[in-house]
Amino acid sequence: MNKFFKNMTVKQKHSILRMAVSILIGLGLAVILIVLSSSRPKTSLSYFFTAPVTNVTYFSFWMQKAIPLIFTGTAVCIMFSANQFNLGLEGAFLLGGMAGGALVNIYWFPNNHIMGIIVGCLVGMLVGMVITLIPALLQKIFNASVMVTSLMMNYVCLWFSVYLLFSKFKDPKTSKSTYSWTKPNQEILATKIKINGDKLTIYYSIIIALAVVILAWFFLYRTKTGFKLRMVGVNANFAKYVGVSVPMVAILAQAIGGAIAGLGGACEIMSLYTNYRWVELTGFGWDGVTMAIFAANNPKNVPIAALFISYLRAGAYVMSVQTGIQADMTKVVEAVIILFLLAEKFLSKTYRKMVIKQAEFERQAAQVEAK
Amino acid sequence: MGQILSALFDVFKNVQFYNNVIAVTPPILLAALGCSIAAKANMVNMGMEGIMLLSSFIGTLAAAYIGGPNPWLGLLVAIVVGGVLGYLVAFFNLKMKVDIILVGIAMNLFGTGATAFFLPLVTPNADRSSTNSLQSGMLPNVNIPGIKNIPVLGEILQNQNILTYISYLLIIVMAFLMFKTKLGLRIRAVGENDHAAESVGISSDKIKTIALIISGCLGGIGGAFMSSVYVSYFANGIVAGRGFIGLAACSMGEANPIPTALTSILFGFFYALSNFARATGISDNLMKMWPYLATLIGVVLYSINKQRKEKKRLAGLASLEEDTK
Repeated sequence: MNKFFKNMTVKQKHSILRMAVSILIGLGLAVILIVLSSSRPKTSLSYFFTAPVTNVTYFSFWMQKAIPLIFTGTAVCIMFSANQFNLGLEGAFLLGGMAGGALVNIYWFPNNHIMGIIVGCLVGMLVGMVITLIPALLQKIFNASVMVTSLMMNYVCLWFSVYLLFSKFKDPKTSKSTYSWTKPNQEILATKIKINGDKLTIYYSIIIALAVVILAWFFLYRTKTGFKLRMVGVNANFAKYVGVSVPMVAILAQAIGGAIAGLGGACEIMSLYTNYRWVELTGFGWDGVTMAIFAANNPKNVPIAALFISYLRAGAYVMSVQTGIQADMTKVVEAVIILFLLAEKFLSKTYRKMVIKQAEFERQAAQVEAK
Repeated sequence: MGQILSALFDVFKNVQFYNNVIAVTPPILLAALGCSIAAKANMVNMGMEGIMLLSSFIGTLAAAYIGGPNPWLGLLVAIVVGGVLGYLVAFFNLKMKVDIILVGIAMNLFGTGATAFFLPLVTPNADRSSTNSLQSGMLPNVNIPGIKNIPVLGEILQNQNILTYISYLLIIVMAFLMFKTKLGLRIRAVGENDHAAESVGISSDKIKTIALIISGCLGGIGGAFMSSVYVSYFANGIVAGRGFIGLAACSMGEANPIPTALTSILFGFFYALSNFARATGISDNLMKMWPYLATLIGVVLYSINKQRKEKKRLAGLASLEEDTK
């Protein structure tokens, strides 16, 4: 461990310090909010901090919350690595879930789950890709601000899907909003096991999510195209002068991002529900941005970031069910952590002190060696 | 199809529809004006959505708890809260050096989280969706004498809420502020080139902060509009993307108050159309898509036009160079 710290540069040490302090500030805020608002602060706090590891049901819940974050986080990492502020993942996730997760399984493969999963994932990716490609192409062809158009795309997707849900795919026989696709009403990407009366749910989508993370990391850091993509993100002018087609790379980044988000939506639907039921934006697209910030745009850090945030969320959810405190508190905590994490000037004096200390240390070491 | 068209035609003949357009535009307009003053200082106020949400929430609480239903106090508090949040955006961007768009995203996250978290704590029945059980009052509708007598427009403009009139008045105020005052000149100078502005002794950080505070205040009015004019209570997610639409309107209007206001009214038109959807027989949900789709198409059309103008300008420059040779 000591060696691990010794080999790091001052900057790396400082960024770890800053992350730790930011997270502590966020958690401190969470404690304050809980203590001030709960009638049973001790119980609430213990649920918030320990629930996901004390009970298998809550543990499944933790995993369930982490999976979509891994998908959208990886998607945003790729887009932000190329410095493309496409915020349309919300819509890509939603429609990817509807088309790939629900419709494919309802209409094409109601009984063949293997095909349903494979085709569902592919359709989800395709739909997600189309959703983010629209703003990307509008940017390329007409120079329309991708941020604005992608924001609008989210709401267009939302109301379009709600329209489809209520006017085209509603089950006329029951009050349910859509047809369910399987006869035994079993989620196709999840298995439920009973352990001592508690329900453990295994989500197979986590395998897909982790595969996506590995592929995305490999693509970004071990392939030529990935290198070009990151080059565009760091300095688009430089990339242009060395002969990289910046618009094409930008479009590629957004297409991949959209595809991953769409895949995430499809997996989410297939592992949580037996029918389609989203009538509002899921929020996972925005969460992807949070994940990318935590992961410093590197996909390999996304699972850790996702597990951290989903741990808080799962704990907060259990707390809200058990002691009636709104689970949305975690959003406040996330926002505060993001702000401090990103603040370059936060702890900058400490950084200066650390640099000076390191220099002193090196100078002394050099003197000793000279003697 | 013919039926739908004739129903649409009926809607367009209806004076009440236009009256509704005027009534639903202000929150978008205020968000857009807020974004535009920030944009003039070269700041993207992405956090408009969160600012509106928080100021609406705190404004409603102030209106309900301080002196019974007192919507005017609520409005004032909302403006102050908006200003403070605008300052926070500036602080985190300028002093703490966080990317402005990410500050905005964090602000939106904070807004949704904080309002939802505190809502059950401040309502008597621990209500989780709205402050319906609180008496926060509504701002009054007013009849401005004489406005009724204007031909055609009179009927559309009469009997609106007082805050609606104030919102439209703010277009002129903002145009005046941006183009006729020293502060406005400085804001534009800083936005164009902050180094140049610094070199003549303008503190760009200070001017940007002021622009964002004004932007936040306008967002605050927009938030108060939602909870004291649109409806009489605060509900979770009440702003429903209007902050983002404002951002789009501002980008289409090139951050100039009057074009920005006109685009806002265009989006208001589609909002009103979705309110009148039932009359046309088109699905409700499909109509709700329209304001956003219209914004999207609008941004694209605007960009095409801008691209064409730019090409023309470049061609003009080239021919000018030829002539001087």
